Order: sequence, then C-alpha cells, then structure tokens
Amino acid sequence: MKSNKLILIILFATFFASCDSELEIDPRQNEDATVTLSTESGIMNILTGAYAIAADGDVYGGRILTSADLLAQTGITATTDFRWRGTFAECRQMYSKTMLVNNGFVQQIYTRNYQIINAANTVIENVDKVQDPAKRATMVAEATFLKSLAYFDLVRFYAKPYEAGQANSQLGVVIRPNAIYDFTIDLAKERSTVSEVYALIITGLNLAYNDLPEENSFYADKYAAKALLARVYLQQGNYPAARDAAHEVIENSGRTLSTKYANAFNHDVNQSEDIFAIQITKQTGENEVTNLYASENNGGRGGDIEIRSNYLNKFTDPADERRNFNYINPDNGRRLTSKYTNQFGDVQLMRLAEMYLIRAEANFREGTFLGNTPLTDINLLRTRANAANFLTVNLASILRERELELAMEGFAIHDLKRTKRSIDVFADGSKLIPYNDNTLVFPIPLREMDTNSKITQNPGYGS
Amino acid sequence: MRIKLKHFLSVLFVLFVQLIFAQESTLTGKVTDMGGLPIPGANIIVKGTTISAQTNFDGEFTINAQRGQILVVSFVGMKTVEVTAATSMLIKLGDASNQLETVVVVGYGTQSKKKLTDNIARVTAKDIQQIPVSNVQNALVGKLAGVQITQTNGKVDGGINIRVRGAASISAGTQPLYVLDGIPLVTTNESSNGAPTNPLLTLSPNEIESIDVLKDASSAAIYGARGANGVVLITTKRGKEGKGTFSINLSQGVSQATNKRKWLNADQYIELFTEASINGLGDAAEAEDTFEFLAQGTDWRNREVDTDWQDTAFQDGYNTDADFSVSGGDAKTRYFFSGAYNNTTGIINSNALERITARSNVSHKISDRFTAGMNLSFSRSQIDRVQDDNSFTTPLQAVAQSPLSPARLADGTANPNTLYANYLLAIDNAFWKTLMRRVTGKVYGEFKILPSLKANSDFSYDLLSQTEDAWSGRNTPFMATDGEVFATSVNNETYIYSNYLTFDKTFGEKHDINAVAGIEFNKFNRRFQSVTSIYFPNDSFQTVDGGAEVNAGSGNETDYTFVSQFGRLTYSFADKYIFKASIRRDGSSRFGKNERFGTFPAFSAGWIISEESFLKDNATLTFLKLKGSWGKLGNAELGNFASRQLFGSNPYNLKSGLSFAQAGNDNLTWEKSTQIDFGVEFGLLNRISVEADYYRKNTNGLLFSVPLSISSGATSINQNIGEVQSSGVEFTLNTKNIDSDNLKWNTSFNITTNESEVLSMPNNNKDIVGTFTINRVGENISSFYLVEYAGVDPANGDALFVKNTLNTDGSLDKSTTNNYATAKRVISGNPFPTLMAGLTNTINYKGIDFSFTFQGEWGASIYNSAGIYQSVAADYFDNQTIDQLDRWQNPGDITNVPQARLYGSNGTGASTRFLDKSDFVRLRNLTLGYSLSGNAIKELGMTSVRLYATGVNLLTFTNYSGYDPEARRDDTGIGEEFYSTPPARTIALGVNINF
Repeated sequence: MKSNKLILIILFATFFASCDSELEIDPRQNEDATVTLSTESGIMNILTGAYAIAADGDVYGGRILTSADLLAQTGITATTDFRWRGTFAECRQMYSKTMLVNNGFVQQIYTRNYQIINAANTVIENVDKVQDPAKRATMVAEATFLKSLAYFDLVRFYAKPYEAGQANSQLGVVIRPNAIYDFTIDLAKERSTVSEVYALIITGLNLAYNDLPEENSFYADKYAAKALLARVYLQQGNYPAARDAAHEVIENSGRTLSTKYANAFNHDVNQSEDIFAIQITKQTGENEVTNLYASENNGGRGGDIEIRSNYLNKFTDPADERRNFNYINPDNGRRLTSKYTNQFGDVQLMRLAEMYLIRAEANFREGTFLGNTPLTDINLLRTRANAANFLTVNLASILRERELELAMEGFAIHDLKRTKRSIDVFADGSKLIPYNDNTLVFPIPLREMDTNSKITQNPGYGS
Repeated sequence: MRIKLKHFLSVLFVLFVQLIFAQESTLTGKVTDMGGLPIPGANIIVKGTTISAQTNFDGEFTINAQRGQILVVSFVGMKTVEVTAATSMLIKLGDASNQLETVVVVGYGTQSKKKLTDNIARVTAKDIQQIPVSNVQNALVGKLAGVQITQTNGKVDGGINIRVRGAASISAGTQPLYVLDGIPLVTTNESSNGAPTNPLLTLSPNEIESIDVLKDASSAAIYGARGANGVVLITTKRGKEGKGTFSINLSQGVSQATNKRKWLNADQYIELFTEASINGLGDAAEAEDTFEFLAQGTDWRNREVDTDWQDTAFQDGYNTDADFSVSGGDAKTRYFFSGAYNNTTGIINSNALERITARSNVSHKISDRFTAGMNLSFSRSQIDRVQDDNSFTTPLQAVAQSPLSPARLADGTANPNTLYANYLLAIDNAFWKTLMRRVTGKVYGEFKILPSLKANSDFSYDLLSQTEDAWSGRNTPFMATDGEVFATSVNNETYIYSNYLTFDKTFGEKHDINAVAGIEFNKFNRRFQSVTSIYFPNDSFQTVDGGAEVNAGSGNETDYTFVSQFGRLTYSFADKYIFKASIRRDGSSRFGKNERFGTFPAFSAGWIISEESFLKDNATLTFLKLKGSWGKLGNAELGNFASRQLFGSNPYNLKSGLSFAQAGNDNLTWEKSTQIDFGVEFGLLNRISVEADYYRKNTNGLLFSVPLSISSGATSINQNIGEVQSSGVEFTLNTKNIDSDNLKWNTSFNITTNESEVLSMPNNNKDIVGTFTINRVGENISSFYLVEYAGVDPANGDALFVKNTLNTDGSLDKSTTNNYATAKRVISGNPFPTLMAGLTNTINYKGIDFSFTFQGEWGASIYNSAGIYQSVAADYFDNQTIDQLDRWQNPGDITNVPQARLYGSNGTGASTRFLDKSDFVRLRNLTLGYSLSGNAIKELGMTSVRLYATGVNLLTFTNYSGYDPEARRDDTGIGEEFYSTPPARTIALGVNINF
C-alpha cells in the first residue's frame, strides 16, 4: 500500500511540474523584427517589400492615378470629361469636390505612402548589413527614390499647390527623416512647409540619380529618378531644369516610344516606352485602375469612370488613335477606355511620351530648342497616334496635347494646379473652382488628426 | 464421535438463517406524486443489488425483495427517496424542483445551490429543449439574469454575442469562455467571407443537461486568465441508474422574418427621383435617363415593372428537427446515447443548414475505487451561405435596387443590368458551402485514494475541421476569369490534460471541508490552407481541378499554449457560515516575455441566516442567505503573437519581400479584471425565492490596439492601457403562484442593469476615436460619436446640423448650420443596453403545459451605416425607405426629411439622422403542450407522449425603425447595421415520445 501511495505522489509531483518550455512559441507567418533587421537578406527583402506596398491598389496600384483624374472633373454630367458612375462614396466625394475628413481612400493614400517612407528609411539605416558596397549604394538609392516618390504625391495631394517664385511656406506634410522602431513613445509631429518637402524630394532624387544603375530590371533605375525629377521641376514651374531632365531621359535612357499607342498599355512586362511601371501579377499587387475603368468582362466593376463626349470633342483629328482608344461596354452602354482592360496588367507610372511633352512645354516656355523644337516633339507623339501633324504649336495646344496623350493616367489635377487654371463647373464661367481652392486639397485624414496632437488640418475641413 | 453441540447448532442456525434469506418473496407497491397521481415509469432498485423494477401505467410495481431491505425509488424531476421494503407499499415522491436542492456545476466539481457563495445562473435541459432554433445559445435568451444574448442577424449561420454582466473589455474578446464537459471549446470564427460562422452550431440542444454561467470572480477565477468575461459551462447528459429510457422528438416548423421595411414602389420612386433631379440638377433629364436604363426596355412611364426586391430576398424558412436519446444504467455502468438531425432553411434566399450530431457518454465503475468513462461526440454541419453584409451580392442588399428594374428577364435568367450587381446572378451562378465537422471527446478516470480523497485525470481532445467550397460561374457579377473556385480547409485542434485532487470531508459533524488542487495543460494548433483557380471550360466544372490556372494559394499555421495550476478551498461551519478561496496561476505563449505569468486569486463568503436558531423554524422566511465575493480574473483574448514586433511576407512581382507588419510591445500582458459581488437570497413561504446582487467589474490594463499617428508608418500598437468599469444590479424572482394537484403555475422574472464606463485612457485620458464610436473617460464604452442632426431648414429644405463647437466659456454652441463639415461630433448614444429583463411563466394543468418567455432590452441604439444610401431623399438612385416621401418641398414645410436633391449630398453626412434607439420587448418563446394519457399509449409500450406547439420571436414591440433591434452587421463595427437580416419568427409543431 505504502509503495502505491508513493508512486501516486511521484506521479502527481511530475504532473505538477511546469511545462514552461511549451510556452516558447514563434509565429510562423511573420518574423520577429530583431531577426529581420539583423541579416542582409532581411534588409533586401524590406526594400522589395517597399515596392510591394507601392503596388497596393490603395496607392500606385491605382488610386493615386484615379484620384488625380477625378479631382479635376467638373462633377456635372453635361460638362465633365470623365463621369463617375460608381458606388464608392469616397470617389464620389472627389468627383463632386465634397470630400469628408473620414474619406477612406484619402486615408489609405496617406497611410501607404508613409509606410513606404518608413520602409525606405529602415533600409537606409540598416544597409550596413549588406556586404557588397555597390549593392549598398544601389539599395540606398532605390529607397531614396521611393521615398521621394511618396513625398511628392503626399505634398501634391495634401497641401496647397506649389507657387512658382514664392517662398512656399504654406503647410506641406509631416517629414519623417528617420525610421521609427519604437512605437510606444509619442509620435506627434507638425507638418513641414511645402518648400521644405520639395527640397527633400529634389535632394533625394538627385542622390538616387547618382547612385542608381542605368538598368535595374523592373525596379527603379537612374532614368526613373531623372524622369521623376523632370516631373517635379515641371510642377514647380522650373522649366529649364524640367527641360534638361526630360531631355536627358529621352537621349540616354534607351527608352523608345512604342510603335503603336496601344502597346504602351495593359502589359505584363515593361515595354520599350516604360520608364517605371508598377508590376502586377495575379498573386501580387492590385490593379485598381482597371478595377474602376473597365467593364466586368475586362476585369473591372463595369465602368465606374466613363468617357464623355466632352473629352472626345477635344480631339481635332477624328483619325487620332487616342480618340478611338475606347469601347462601349455592352452591359450598360458606357464608353470605357481601352487603356485599362487587363485585370492583372502592370500600372504605368512613367512612360516616355510624358518626357516629350515636358521637353516640348519647357522648351516653348523658355523659347529654346534643346533636343527638338516643341513642334517636332509634339508631332512625334501625334504621328505615333496616327493623328494629323500640327503646323504650329502654342502653349494651349501643348497643354491640350497632354490631355489627349496622358488622360486617365493621373495627371489632370496636378496639371490644372500648376497652370493655375480653374475648373469651370458648368462650362459657362458661372461657377469656377480656382486651382488653389480648399476643396481641391485632400484633408489630413481624421485618423491622423485624432492621433497626432501637433498637426494642423487643411482649411475648410471640420472634424 | 462426540458432535460438539455448539458447532452443530451454529451450523443449523446458519443454515436456517440462510434459508430465511434465500426465501424468494415478491413485494408490491405503488408510487404516486404528492397529490396521489400515479407515476408510471418510476424506478425501484434494491439498494446495493442489481434487482430493479419499474412502475406500470397505474404506478404499481412488484419487486423481488425481502422485507427490511432498502428500496431506492426515483423518477426524473422528483426527489429520490429510500424506503424500507414492506408489503403493499405506498410511496409518494416530491418535486425536485425546489431550487435549493439543485446542484450546480462549478469548475472542476459541483456544489449545492444552497451553500453557494458564488453567482452562477443556470438553465437545465427542460428549459432549452424542443425550441426550434438551430443553435443552442438562442434558447437561453431571457432566462439568465446578467447574461445578454444577442443574435447577430437572421442568417442560419449567424453568430451570437453573449455578454456576461456588461463589457469587461473594449477590444480584447468580449465573449465568455465556453467549457464543454471540462473542455474549453474553440469558438473562433473560421469564415473566409467576412461574416462569422458560429462554431457552437455543432452542438445540439438535446445532448445538453445543463448550462451554468459563472458570472462573478469567485466562480470564474478557477478559470483564471480566461475567465474575465464569464464562463459558460455546458454539461452533457449522463445516464442514471435504472431501467433504460428511450425518447424521440420530432418537430417541424415554419419561419419568416420578424419584420420587413417599407420601400418605395415604382410610382413613388419615379415621383421622388424626378423631383430630386429637378432640384439637384435643374431638370429631370438625369433621372429620366436613368429610369430608361433601369427599365431595360420596359415601359416605366406606365409602371409596367414594379419589382418588390425585398420580397425576392426573403423566403419562408423551414425547420425540421428529429432527435433521439437512450439513457440508463445500473449500479456500475451508466450510459447516454443520442443523435439529432436538424434541417433549417433560412429566411434569406439560398441560406440553409443541415446538421447531424451524435453523442455517447459512458462511465463504468471498474472497482469500488476506480471509475472511468468516455464522452465522445461528433457532428457534421453543412451550411449554404450567403455573402457577408458588405458584399454586393448579399441578398438583402437587393433593397437598394430600383423597383423599375425587372428582377429577371423574359427567359428567366437574372437581369444583369441593374443599378447594383443583381444578387440573383450570384444565387443562380454561385454557391458557398461550408462544412463543419467536429469531434470532441474526453477520457477520464476517477480514483478514490481514500474515502475523502479522490484523484481525477481528464484528457480531452477537440477537433474542428472546416472546409469551404465557393464556386462562381461565368455569369456571376464581376466575373472576368470565366469562373472561379475558392476552396479552404482549416483544422483547429485542442488538447487538454487536467489532473486534480479533490478532498471532501466533514469533521466533527460541523466542519465541512472541500478542497481541490490541480494542474492543466492546454495546447492549440490551427492549420489553414486555401487555393483559388480560374478559367473554367463551362459551369459544370466546380472544383479546383477544373480550372486552367491555379492563381492563388495560401497556407499558414499558428499555435498557443496555456500552462496552469489551480486550487480551491471551501469551508463551511454548521452549514451556516461558508468561506471559499481559490487561486489560479496561468502562463501563456501569447504574452510579452516580460509578463508571461499571472496569478488570479478569489475569495467569497456566505452566511445562511435561515439556519440560525432564531430563524430556523420560521415558516414565512424559509431561507435567507447573504454572500459576497471578490476576485481577480484575466482576459487573454488578443492574437497569438500580439506583443511581438514583426515583419511579414509582402512579395512584389513574384519576388519575395518583407514589410513591417506589427508594432511590438514586450510588456504586453493580461487584462486584469477585479470583480466584486454582494448578494442576498431569500425564500418566503417556500413559494417565493428572490436573489438580488450588486456587481462591479473593474478592468485595467485593457488590451487595446491603440491607433498611432499614421505618418509614423504604423497604424496601431497593442498596449495595456486604460481602465473600464462595468457595474449593475441583478434581481431574480422565482415564484410558485399556484401549486395544487391539478394546476401549477410558476413564474421566473429577472432584471439586470448595467453601466459600462471608461475610467481612464492612455496619453492623459485622450479620446480614442473610431469610425462611429469613441472611448472617452467618463462615458460609456464605445459610445456613439456622431454629428448631431438638427432636422431641416423650413426656408430652403437644407439639412441642418448642430454645430457643437466649443464656446469660449466652455459650453457647446448649439446653433445649427447647413455645412456638415463645420459641425463637430458629440456623444450620441450607447450601443449596449443598460437594462435587460426576462420573464418566464410556466403553467401545468392536468396534461397541458404552457410556458412563455418575454425578454426586453432598453438603453441601446443602433447606427444604420447604410442610411447614407437608403434614407437620403434620393441623393443617388438606391431605392429609398418610404419615410423619405416626407421630404421638404415648399418653403414653410416643417419636416425631418431634407429636400430631395440628386447628387446634392443634402444631409448625407454620417450623423444621428441614421441613429435610432433600439429598445424592445419581445415574446421570445411560447410553448403549448399536451401529454396524452390512456391505455392506448401503454399498449404501444410508451410511457408518455407529448404533442406541442412552440414559437420563437413571435411578437416584437419596438419603435426601432430598422429591420429589427437585434439585426446588426456581421463583418465589422459595433452597434451598426448594414443591410442586416432580421431574425426569424418560427412556429413549430412537434411530438415527444418516451419509451
């Protein structure tokens, strides 16, 4: 009996002993940050991950482009170039210039761009884990490029426009110069000025241009940085710099215009004309432009954004391929663009045609002929589109050519703001929305207002 | 040879005695109830032997017993008695429904209700059986004080939210811990389509003996780190000693939605939208163009088509239930087998559930000291699901369609050219089948080391295996890949191993000691995989292999463990003074490495005043007890790796990438909840019993996903911050109004109040603001935070809002403005009720039984986040609710509906315009039954037959303008409704037969 009791007591004693080692479990789909940040492959993966954030439909997978175009529309069916037909209230608010502070798409553009910035900063600060010094320089350059891209779109959307020749001390966006690792502290910070943000962008792009290789597969290369610089300078009204940058890309990047206009779009790999495109596959990234522009058969929602005759009437030549680069959706009779008919196609962010347009406009404004005369550059694009060549050009026709070539690719509102044009809501001058109106600027998202005690909201937005 | 006479006589004596004892004698008797009515089917056992008998239809029995032996007489629902065997016995059995005689289940043991110092609410099998609902929690509504049960919506797979004594948390789980026969159940929702499925669907009400809800710290602390939200103990049936019984139950019911809303018909639609177009755009062109498109060629000017889309989404539901159970046993072995089949067709088009469950509970006394047993159950449920409430193709979103659109074309196919995706296209061309299979089992042994000391060892296993098959054909809305199949498979496995010792002894007749000490190890693993394929040759290929390209796949695994030690000591003196203490130490893999273990103590005490000499024989005040408890509990429900700073996979162009996934916090730990409870119980005249309790739960170190400044690169971080308090009063009254031979009438009434308030927040009590809710110090948890709607400007029909900006003197500016952007949000309501009540009446008259339960909730509001589409006086072409016809039309009109302006955003901002109070009183259950009597029954071998009619959600009294005060959206949000399905009103007829 006694030995039985002893056995029992021993048994229970072992049961009572803790199995504490069972408590050490690691997640299987994620990795502890200290592990990721301490290895070369970890840092390289974070850089790729930054591109992946950009490829999200919320930002460069689509909504950065569609928002820029919707904001520039009149919002009235009879007078608008592109009509919003969909159900997303977020897009409707952009279309009718009635954005609310809790607009979800506005919040996501903000959120994702800052995620890109933090990922880029993380790479830059931890790149010492990478062995090869050449690789290190390239990675820092790529990260800086992505950072500048993100800040550029943030300052274009969330701040009042850049005024050429002014001090530009109006509020821009929050600058985060360093990666953030400890989120338990107070992270409140006020917005920097527009001029400070642009200075950061340009410094960054110049560094990227210096250190990026001439070719970098589908990632950002030297000429992507230069092309973005051209765009930034144009937005600032710095025409000489814009002209020189665009010229460099045209001359040295090795890109050529696609022989047919249609080939520039809906591709799965970069074409000759692509300077930088967001790669989308069935498994990675989301093509949100196709989602909003295409019929259901072509992978979209049925044509949330349709082309109106107002836009078609801007073409002077009925044989212009660009005028006819659309189709009627048999389900609902809407005229939809053929630029976006591939559900898993890449999203073109920068293509060579834009460089020709920048060079032509900058040359014209400066009275110079660097590379080509403005007339030649414009006619190059027109010839490619089977449109009758011009005999002369002026500023209006160059700006119009931008609309014909680059429509629905995310340029409309930014062009309007830099050229200080107004939106003529009823096409009769009775109601004008000026380029620097409060309603053409995104609100700082409500979520940021609620958590960042130092930030100031844009004028015209309550909470 | 000299025979020793002594020896001879003793042998003779022994033989003689032997003969006497060996004599076979047959004794007879009759068993009746206190009123003299015979009880057929009562069991009589000769104590200590296997000799048994059963009474016949007249209550008479014969048994092979000797005079003087002890007979044990028992019958379900009645108090067991022991009598000395004699000839022609008349045995009367009394009702066991005396509350104080019941035994409640506490963690790792049982206790008598009379001596309980904890607060535990209980329902038993007879309260919940034969109610035609597909899940068990629905049957508890209104019956338990302090337990709020809300059906999320009327889909058959709809989840159920249970809140015990208000909220003890904001974002860590708020659901109680469910324990089935000692096995903590996996209750995570495994749905892949946004709307949750309810894993407790796998239980059938007919296998449940009792449900005990542990509400206060003293009872729940034995579950330590997971007990903060209360614990629901579900105990399944076991056999009882006696002749085996066999019972079957069949029922068939019909269901409809409890309520439908009124929408515009074609006439009203054309009228309102034409007016809106003129007001908003200058002319009717936009409206008429759209009418043309919507009509798809039909003659809308003459109202040729007037589709009632809401009607197409709803259908009559049907419930079929069939179950059987077999139970019995002898002195050594007890068994219970059951099986059940349920087929429910939902009230929403294409929503259905079919379920089979089976169970076997067997225990056997291997020796005097050692008992072993096994409970094993399996269940299989197949659910045809509809999309979650936010999906275009969820049927109830069809109310947004225009009445001018035909639902189907002339050839019968669904009309593809409607304002929004036509859900009929999804129903015709897609399915979503979820199959849940569950195996739950427990093997246990109990060994009596000493008469007062026993050891239990339990090993339990729970496997929830679910597959989902979602096929979409080529004509489904938004289909651009010639069909798509999405298939998932997930396995959730839990192992639990508990060992505990129980010591139970009375010293010196006055000192009762009960002690429990044990350990428990709980391990959980979840493995998930899914695959998607596209490009199918035609619609007959509906599995992954039929697709030309597998374009997506995923697979992941996660685990957690808990290691615990626990102990409990109960001491009572003279059955009058009771003390109880318990403690539990839990460690879990879920928490930050600095804070991995927690200790949870609890104490309670009670004084049964009615046992004191001055009250002992009082005839009026038959029972009086005071009790109180204090304890600490924890809440561990927040992700398995919430404390870690993590990077996750984020590939680009099929190249691997990592992106920041979660901000980490090494100090993340349990939420700590301290709970106190004071209560008094008394009974009057043996007819009235009252329990009243005051409770207060304080939770600090709330597990919270604190929003971060999004410009930092992360959107939130998990922290222990803030403190909330939930307090209130519970009152339960049970009365036996009439208790005579023929007529019995009992009433049970419970009422609970609850205030759940935020006491402190991080960052110097800064508000945490959500989409429509806010957590602010001094206010209710998750209060609604909305712009205040102020009606309509009679001069011009503009929607008005109250500014609520802060004046220099600190007061709020209550003037109105028509500019929504300048109005500030204010606290506008509470998503949770502050008062809940339930009333149950049971009447028995001869063979008729009648019972009904009312429930009511007051103080809550619901925000209709679809209001900006449904009730905005024709801002966009969604069909509108009929109240929008009251829109402002001419200067001077006084109304609450602003002018109709197409695309005008007039009054479309989120505001209290779409917030409504959801107070309601509902007739929850009503049952009328009749038990047949007569020789015909007896001849067929049956002991009883009962026919019954029962109804659920029969009547609802409310001023709520939405579908139903219990319909809430199932994909996200608190207190929101978004095209949410109302619950079903069901009427069923059934028969219950016992053999």
